Amino acid sequence: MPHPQDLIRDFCIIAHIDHGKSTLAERLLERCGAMAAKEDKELEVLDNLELERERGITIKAKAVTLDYRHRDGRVYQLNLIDTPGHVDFSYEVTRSLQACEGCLLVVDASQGVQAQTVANYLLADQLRLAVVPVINKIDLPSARPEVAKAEIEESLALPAEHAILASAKAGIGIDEILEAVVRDIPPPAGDRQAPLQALIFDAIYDDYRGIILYVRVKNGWLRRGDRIRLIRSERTYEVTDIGRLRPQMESSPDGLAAGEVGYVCAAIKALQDVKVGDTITDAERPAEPLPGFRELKPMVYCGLYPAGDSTYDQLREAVQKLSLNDASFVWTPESGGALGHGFRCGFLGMLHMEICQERLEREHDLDMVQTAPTVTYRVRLRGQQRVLEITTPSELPREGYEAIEEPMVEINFLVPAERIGAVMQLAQDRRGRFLRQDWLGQHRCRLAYRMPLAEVIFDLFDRLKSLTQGYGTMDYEFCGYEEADLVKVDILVHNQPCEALAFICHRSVAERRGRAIIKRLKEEIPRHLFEIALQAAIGSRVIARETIKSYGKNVTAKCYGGDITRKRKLLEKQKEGKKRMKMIGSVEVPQAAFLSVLKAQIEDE
Amino acid sequence: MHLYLHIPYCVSKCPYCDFNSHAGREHEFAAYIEALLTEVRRLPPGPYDTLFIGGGTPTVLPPALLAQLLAGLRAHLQLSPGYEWTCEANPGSSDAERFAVLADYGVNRLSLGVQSFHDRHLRFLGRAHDAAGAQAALASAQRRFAHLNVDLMYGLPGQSVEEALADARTALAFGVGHLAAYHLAIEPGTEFHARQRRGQLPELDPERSRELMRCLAEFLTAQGLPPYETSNYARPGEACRHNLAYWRQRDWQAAGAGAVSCVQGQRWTRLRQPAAYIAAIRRGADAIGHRERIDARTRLREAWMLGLRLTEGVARARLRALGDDEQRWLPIARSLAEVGLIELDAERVRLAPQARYAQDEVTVRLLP
Repeated sequence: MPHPQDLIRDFCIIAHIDHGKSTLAERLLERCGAMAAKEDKELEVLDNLELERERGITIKAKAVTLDYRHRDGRVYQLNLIDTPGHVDFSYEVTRSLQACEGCLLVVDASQGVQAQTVANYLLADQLRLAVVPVINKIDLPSARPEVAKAEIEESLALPAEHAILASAKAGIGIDEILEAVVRDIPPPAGDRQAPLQALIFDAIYDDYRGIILYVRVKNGWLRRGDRIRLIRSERTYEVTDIGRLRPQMESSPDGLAAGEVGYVCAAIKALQDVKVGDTITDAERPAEPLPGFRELKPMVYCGLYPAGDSTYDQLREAVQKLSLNDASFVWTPESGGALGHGFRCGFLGMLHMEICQERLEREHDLDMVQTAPTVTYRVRLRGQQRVLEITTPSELPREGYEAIEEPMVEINFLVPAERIGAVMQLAQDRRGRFLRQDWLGQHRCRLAYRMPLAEVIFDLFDRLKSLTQGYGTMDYEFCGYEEADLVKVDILVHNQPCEALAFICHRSVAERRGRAIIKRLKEEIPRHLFEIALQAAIGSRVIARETIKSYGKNVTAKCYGGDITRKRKLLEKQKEGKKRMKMIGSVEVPQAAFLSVLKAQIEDE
Repeated sequence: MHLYLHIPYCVSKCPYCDFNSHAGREHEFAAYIEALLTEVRRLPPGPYDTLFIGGGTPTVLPPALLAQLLAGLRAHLQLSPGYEWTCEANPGSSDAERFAVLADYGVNRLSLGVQSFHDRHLRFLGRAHDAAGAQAALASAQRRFAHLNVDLMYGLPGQSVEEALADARTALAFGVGHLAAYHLAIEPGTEFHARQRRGQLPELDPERSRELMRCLAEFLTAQGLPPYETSNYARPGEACRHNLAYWRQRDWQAAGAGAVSCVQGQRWTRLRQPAAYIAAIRRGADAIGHRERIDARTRLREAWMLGLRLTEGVARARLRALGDDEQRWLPIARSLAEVGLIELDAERVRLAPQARYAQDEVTVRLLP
C-alpha cells in the first residue's frame, strides 16, 4: 500500500560544489539502512557516473526512498531527491526542487556561503520550500560555523541560529538532520482521489530497461497498466513498471500515490520524447499540467570533429549514444571546411560542454578537435519579420541584417573583499553592466552584473578563480537577448577563410582577439614551401596580419641503388604525417593548431 | 644489363658517412676479393651495359689486388660495346699507379670523392686528404680517364656561396664532364648525427642552404653542365648511365658486402659485415641478408620518388602502366603546377627546376 501521506517527507539537499552534499546523502542512506556502511562501499549512490565523482558534481538528479523509524515509533517515508549542483543545470535543479516540500541547505563551515548556495537558495525560496540550514564539515580545524551562520543570515536573510552543526564525514549531526526533516518539512499535500498529476523531474536511458522516468506524484494515483499521457510531449503510453528507488529499483504492486516519489517505465523509445518538467496525467481523465515547465534550450554551441585516428563514424556513434543519456545535449552533422565532417553540438553551458566532451573522449576513446564555443545569436533580418538564430559564425549572412542580438545573463560573483576591485575590472572588461553590490559580513561581497553570455563562456570562471586565489564563485542565469555591436572576425590562412577559426565578438575587442589568434597560428603552422599570409579580417577589412616565412629546403640529396628502399620509407613516413594535417586551401595545419588557437582566444585575454 | 660491385673498405671512416664502409680491415682484403669474385661468377655473364665499382673506396686496395679483381671481372663478364665502367676513388697515396691499373683493365670513368678544395672544410668532413692531394689526384685521373666525375659537398658550416662556386670552378678547370654536388645530410648512425644530438654540430641556416643550391645549379648550367638529377650535373652525353638505370627503375645485378640488387621485382641486400659476407660466400650460401618484394604499389611509389629526382621527370605513360590513375594525381599535380612546383605536359610530369629545394615535399604530395 502507498505510505500514509502525513508520514511522507519529500526533500532535497542543495549546496555549493564540494560542500559535502553527496557524503551527507550517503550518511542519510546508511542511517536508514538503505546501504552498507562506508567501509565496503566505494560508490556514492547518488553520483552514478565515474566522471561526476571525479569532478565532485552531480550531473543528473536521482532519488532514493528511505524508511526512517522516528523515536515516536512511527516509520516515515523520506524521499531524498538529489539535485545537480551547477548553474548549467539550474532548470533541472528547479524541477527537482519542485518535487519537494523542503530542502536541506548545506554550507561548508570553512567556506561559508558561496555563489551556488545563494542561487540554489533563491530557487528554493521562490518555490516556497521549507529550508533547513546545515553547517557541514564542523570537525575540520578551519571550520568557522559562527561565521557561516552569520553569512547565511546576512546573505540569504534566513534565520540560522538553530542551524544544525554536522559533519557528514564523521557522522556528526545525522540524527538531528533526520529529526529536522520530519519536524520542519511539511508532509506533501495532494489529493489521492483527484485526476493524476505527476511531475517528471528527471529521465535517463538505461541499456536494459530503456527510458526510465523519475517522478513525484502530486495528485492522484499511478499504477502499472495505467494509460498515461505526457502532456507537453503529447504522447500516450502504458505504464509497464512502476516502483520506488531503494536505491535499486523496486517494483510497487500498488503503484505510487500522491506524495510519493519513484520511477516509471512505459516503453518510451527515445530520451528526446521526454521533457523534464513535463506532467504525467491519466489519458482518460486528464488534469492540467503542473506549472514551471520550460522547453530546455542549449545556450552554448561548438563543433566537434574527429581527429587523430578517430573517424567520423566513430564520433557519430559516440554522439548518438551520449544523446541517449542526456536529452539536453543536441547535435547535427556539419561540414567544417578544413576540419572535414563533424557535428555541431549544443550544451546547456560551459560545464555541460566540458562534461560531454570528456565523456565522449573517455567512454569512447575518441580524439576530437573542438571549435571555439559560441552562443546562439539572433540576427534581425532587414525588411523581414523573421529572426534568424545562428549557432555558428558561418551562418551569419554577409549583409542584409539590421542587428545582431546576443543572449545576456545576470551573473553574481561572490568574492573576498580584497579582490573586489580586480573582479570589477574583469566584469567591466567582459562588457558587464554593474547591477548591485551586497556585503556578506565584513569579508565577502556579492557583485551582480548583467553580462553577455558570450563573455561568460569565454573562460570567465577560470579567470575569476585565478583572480581570487580560488575563493571567488559565480553563478548566472539567462535573462534575455540584447542588441550589441557585434562583428564576425574571419581568419584567413593564405587568403582562405577558415570557418573553424572564425568567431563573432564585440567590435571593441575584435582586433585584439584576431591578433592573438593569428600570432598563435604563426607558432603552430610549420613552414611551407611558400610564404603564408595570416590575416584576421572583418569583412574585407584586415585588422591584423602575420607572415610565416617559407623554409629553406626539403630534399633527399642522395638516392642510389642501395638507398632506394630506405629513402622511400622516409617519404612514406612523411606522407603519413601529412594525413594528420588539415588543409586550409594549400596550407597544411596540424590538428593541434586548432586546439592551441582556441586556447589563445582565452589566454590572451 | 647493369652491375654494381661494392668494396666496403676505406682508410678511415668519415664522420658524415652512412655507407657500408669499414676502416682498418686490410687483413681481409684478399679474402674479400676472392669472395666477391666467387659471387660474380654466379651472376649472368652479361653483356653488361654499365658496371660500377663503388665503396667504400675501391682504390684502397693495393694495386696488385685491384688488378686481380679487375682481371677476374673481365674473365667472367662480358661488356657491351660502348659500355660505361665506373670506379670510385678517393684522393690518396700512389693514385697514379692504381688509376693506371683501372684504365688498363677497361675502366673508362672515374668518380673522385673530392668533397672540397678547401682544407678547412676537408678537416670538418674528416677527410683523409687535403686540397693539394685532391688536385694532384684529379690531375692524375685526367690523364687516364675519358670520363671524370668529382663529388663535392656543400652546405658546410661557414661555407660561403663563393667557396662552393670556387670548388665547382676548380673541378671544371680539370675538364671534368660530370659533377655530383651533395648538400651535407646528417644521417642516423653517423658521428655527425651523434654530435648533432649533443648539440655539438653548428646549425645550418636553411635559407642559406637553399641559396647555395640555387647558385650552384645556376652556375653549373651556365658552365654547360645542367643538372640531370637532384645532385648530379653533366655536360651533354656525360650523364652516368649506371645511376640513370636506378632512377629509371631498370633491373640491376650486384655483388659484394651490403650491395643491393634489384631483379624482377626482388630487391636483395647482401650482408653488410665483410667478414659475415665472406663466410657466407665461402660456405656456398648467397649472403643475402634482406629480401624485399617490390609489389606494384611500391614500384609506383618509387617511380614517383625517383622520377621526380630526374630533370626529365617521369612519363605519364609509365605511371599509367604502373596502375596510377590520373584522376588521383592530376588534380594534385595541377595545383602544384599553379604555384610553380611542377611542370606538366602531355607526355611527362617533372619537378620544376626552381622547385628542386622542395623535392621531397612535392613528392610526398604526389605519392600514392
